[in-house]
Amino acid sequence: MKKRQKMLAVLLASTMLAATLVGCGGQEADSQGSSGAQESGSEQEAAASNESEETGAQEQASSGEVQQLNFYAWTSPENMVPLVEAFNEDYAGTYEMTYQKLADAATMTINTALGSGEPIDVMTQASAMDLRVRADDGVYLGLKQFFDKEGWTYEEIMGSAMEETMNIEGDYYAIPYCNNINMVWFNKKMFDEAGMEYPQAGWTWDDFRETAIAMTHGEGGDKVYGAMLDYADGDGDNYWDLIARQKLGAFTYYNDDFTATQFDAPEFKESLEYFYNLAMVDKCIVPLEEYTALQYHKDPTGMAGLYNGKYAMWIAPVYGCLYLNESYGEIPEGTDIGVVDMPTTDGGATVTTCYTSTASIPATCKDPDAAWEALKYACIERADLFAGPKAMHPGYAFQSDEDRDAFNHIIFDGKPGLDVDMAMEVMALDRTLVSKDNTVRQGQVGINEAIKNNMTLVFSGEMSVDEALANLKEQGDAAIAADQ
Amino acid sequence: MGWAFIGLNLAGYLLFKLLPLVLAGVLSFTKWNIAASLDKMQFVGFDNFARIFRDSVFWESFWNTILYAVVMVPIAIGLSLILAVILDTHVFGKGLLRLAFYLPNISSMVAVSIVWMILFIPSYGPINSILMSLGIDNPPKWLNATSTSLISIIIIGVWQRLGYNIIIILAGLQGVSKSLYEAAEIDGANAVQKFFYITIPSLSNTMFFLTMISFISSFQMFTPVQVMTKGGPGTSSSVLVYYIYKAAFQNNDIGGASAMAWVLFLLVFVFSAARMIVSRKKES
Repeated sequence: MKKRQKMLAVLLASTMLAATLVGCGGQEADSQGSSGAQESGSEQEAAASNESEETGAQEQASSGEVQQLNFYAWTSPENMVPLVEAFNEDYAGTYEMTYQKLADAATMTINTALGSGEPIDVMTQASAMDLRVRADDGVYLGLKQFFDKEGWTYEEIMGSAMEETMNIEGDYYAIPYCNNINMVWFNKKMFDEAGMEYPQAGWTWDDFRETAIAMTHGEGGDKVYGAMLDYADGDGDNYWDLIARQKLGAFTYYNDDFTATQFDAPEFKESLEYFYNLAMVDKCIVPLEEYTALQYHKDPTGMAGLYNGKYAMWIAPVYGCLYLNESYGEIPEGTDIGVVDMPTTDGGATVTTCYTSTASIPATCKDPDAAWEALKYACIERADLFAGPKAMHPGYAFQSDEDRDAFNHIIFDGKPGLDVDMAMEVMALDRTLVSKDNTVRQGQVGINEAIKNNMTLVFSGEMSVDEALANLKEQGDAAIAADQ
Repeated sequence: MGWAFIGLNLAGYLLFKLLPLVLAGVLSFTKWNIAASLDKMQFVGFDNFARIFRDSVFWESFWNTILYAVVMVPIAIGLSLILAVILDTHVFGKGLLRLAFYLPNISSMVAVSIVWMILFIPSYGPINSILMSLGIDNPPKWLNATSTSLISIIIIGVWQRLGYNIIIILAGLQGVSKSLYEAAEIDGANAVQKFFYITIPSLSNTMFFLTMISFISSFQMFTPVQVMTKGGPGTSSSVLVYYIYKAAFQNNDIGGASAMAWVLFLLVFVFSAARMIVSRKKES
């Protein structure tokens, strides 16, 4: 009896051990199969392996078999259904797209998926720095070859601003699938109650300040602020440099040849001083301590704060209107949200900031041509089904006013509480966009760290504007020098 | 036969503990993007270590980690001891109180951290409202000042640690012979004397265990910093694990993060080794 029990115990332990090893071994075998190039050791072997897989995949397609395409992103699966269904219908019998949801857009989430040999055909990313690092490390395919095949240039399809930021040593490793334009959202009801005029296009930063001061009232937990903007949080949009960006253009932090920072430029002082005064002197924008504690830097909470009357204006991207939806929280009856372009210093032509999320094709992809079809479809041909449901503008430049209006309808229609007519009118206005995307690798990590560290001190009242900018200049230049 | 019994655990240990440890050691001498192929890995010698040792934020995080442990552990254990002794005597609602003290230990630290952030709001948070009602005109800015951000995190650490410590000390108290207290009473000892001359010496093994475990877990503190301060304002509340996380998962600096992880490992190793040596001495 004892012997039998012993045998049973040994058998069970061995089975569990074997199952564990087989389980892990199976995954490894799968990943080896799909990554191929990553495991082969040399670039030649990788190329050969990739080529044979590519040929196999193309043969599969020509033999009439439907080829599977894996699209990896962090979009919620229900928002992907229209895109996947439309693609599979349009390419019926040739390709079949499957959507794989990533946990989030974090650097390591995507790197792990790419590095672990997942059979990825198209992959999205939110960070321009991540894109640059992956492109430099040979993780992504250059896309210029596909643009050439189509007879397109990147600039004519995506616009010159996108071309400028996405051009990495003469090639392009991603297509922006969205363009998030920064606007000022405002609570019309609060303006009506205060007897204030709604902000209009062509307003100035002085107007913004006066409006924010006028809309601020109350004390303590009941205090209502004139505006909320994410000016110093590490996870957020860092709007403290907005005025400098409007004046200096793309790659704002760098000098012309990217060998040093330009935090000593007067535009940075003007910008930081302006937002410092709003927060610390006028106290008319939500203070750092409150917006981090109440999580206002998270977009759904940001919009909720606006329609619940915690503040009258909110600087956020266009997709902020996505959160005017019951599924993100109960919207009070009578909610009436308006939108206006960003103010400028002189009230002249509108210049505003924007940023993108992008999509790429991994270098290990089995059939690059098929992956290109999926990438092109999601980002250019049917952006209405990918960017549209997320209330984002497409990455490409609109070819006509009709195209623009049709897309804006997709973004704004069906958002309870939004003044859709106002949004449509405002978005039809001319504006110059300045991209916040930074695809310059030199010093970027150090610069971003320095910004976060110094700005939290400035907006906690522990550091002066001049001291912070001097630190940024010194620390940013050191970071660039270290990366040269 | 013996190997079969330990096989599963051994495989788990080798795969999920020893191998990552060794790999982290290897990675600490390299520069590598995890998304790139292995042939892109560059051997950089001790560059990562040299870099982190030159990095002022690394040292600030290192000393903050030590400071957190050195301040938090004695306070948490001292308070736990007092509370456990009180709970061990005839207190009304003893079970409920034990549950209340233990709850923070099983609560989600992310959710708890968000609640603490609200409690700590300087202008109208409940804590400062109480302080102001007591006549303190300029209460601390807690998480929003460099001078108090780490203190705030220590307060949360103490609060969170109390429950676990109390349970362990209560278990230890059950092993203290009642006859010792009776004998002391006959000799005329008062409550304080009994506490210092009977309770504390009898709990020495328990306290030693708690001290070492608390120090080791303090070195690995992460969630409150990640949720509440992100190491700020500035870098005033950055701790080692948070800095490692940022380097690896946000800045893609796998080599630097691995080097820092090894420094942390050595720190924990020194404490663990000290614990073993002291335990052996006590046993002998």
